[in-house]
Amino acid sequence: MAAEATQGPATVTEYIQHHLTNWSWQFGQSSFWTLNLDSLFWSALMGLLFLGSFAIAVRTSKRSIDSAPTGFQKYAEGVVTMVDNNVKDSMHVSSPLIAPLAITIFCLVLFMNAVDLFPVDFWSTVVAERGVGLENFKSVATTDPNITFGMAITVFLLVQYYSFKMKGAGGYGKEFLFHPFDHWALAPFNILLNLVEQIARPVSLALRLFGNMYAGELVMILIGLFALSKGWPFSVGAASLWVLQFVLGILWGSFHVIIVLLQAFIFMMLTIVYLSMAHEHSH
Amino acid sequence: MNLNATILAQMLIFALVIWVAMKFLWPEITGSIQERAKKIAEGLAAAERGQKDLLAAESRVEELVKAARERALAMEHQAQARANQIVEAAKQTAQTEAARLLEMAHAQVALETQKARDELRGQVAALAVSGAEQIIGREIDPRTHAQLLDKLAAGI
Repeated sequence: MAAEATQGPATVTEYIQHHLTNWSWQFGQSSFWTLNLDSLFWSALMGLLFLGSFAIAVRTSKRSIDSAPTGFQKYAEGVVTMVDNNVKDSMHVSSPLIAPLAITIFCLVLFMNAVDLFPVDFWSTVVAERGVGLENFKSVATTDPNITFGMAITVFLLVQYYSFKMKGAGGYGKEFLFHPFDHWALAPFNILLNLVEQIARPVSLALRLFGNMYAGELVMILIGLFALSKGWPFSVGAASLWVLQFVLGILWGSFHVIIVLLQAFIFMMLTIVYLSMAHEHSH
Repeated sequence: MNLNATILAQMLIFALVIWVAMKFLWPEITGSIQERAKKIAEGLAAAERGQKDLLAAESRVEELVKAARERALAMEHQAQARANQIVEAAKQTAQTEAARLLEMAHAQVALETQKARDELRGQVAALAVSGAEQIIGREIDPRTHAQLLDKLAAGI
């Protein structure tokens, strides 16, 4: 935007690349041993935000057990009630893990997604580059597949752990061998099918969130290109591009609010479904 | 899209956040929700009980008022009867008293009359003597004529 232009003409490619490159730190020989510090920073920050806000809610509810809930308590109990109802609706078994897990997922994903509603240049350029002096700094953690895969794999591991725990080794193995076709001759086929099914879950979970958020972020960046390197709007043409960028930004941002909420909700719901399936015996 | 060790770090962060939420926050929040729900239910039950109590008290009050009214009415009747009785008795007493007084008055009158008559009798005797003296022109000796005079007085 304007800030970009005063620093010298940034090309479109430079602008886009600047917004899509992580602040990373390679600590091993192979390029796999790299940490995307910006994504982890936002992930941890939002985790703290979630835990902190709920801790405040717990404190206020302890202090005023007799009065009607206020402020943070209202927000926390609202989220808890909503998630709890969703869990109860889709579950037939009660588990001490599922509801807190669902809440954590919902709040964490929602918070990380919501950073997308800041102006695209705010964190990466204004704060990180100008303020702190970091060359690259992505602000929306869920546009990093590492983050979405990290969460999806954690959920996957929990699902495997709980299915093993609930069904036992025998039940777990039996389901793998004789489901969906209950015949010993088809066991290899069943194994293949179950493997695909099990692996497809975390992959789709991670890619869905990543894809939606990445696309949304990309559209934001593209909208940011309109008035790029046009400078302060002295001409009619530049001014109209500024207006266009502003209007489009508002429109897409408003629409994006829905995606931000919806993706958080979907990630949560699917986790609940997978975990409740892990608890169910009959198939 | 380059996958790297960030996945592992994110798994660690995520697991940590889940653990803290599950261990410390979830029980507290659900506990307080349940506690408040219980309190609200208790309050509602108490309100209903109060309503019932109120109704019971109202009907009891009505009963009491009715009983009191009945008693008052009975007392009024009793008092009326007693008053009548008293008035009746008073009338009786007054009548007997009046009769007694009347009788006494009669006796008095009779006594007075008798006295007056006796007095008059004595005076008539003296009068007759003095009249006779004047007529005869000489003194009649009352001792000699006492017998005559007495006869005269008795005749009056």
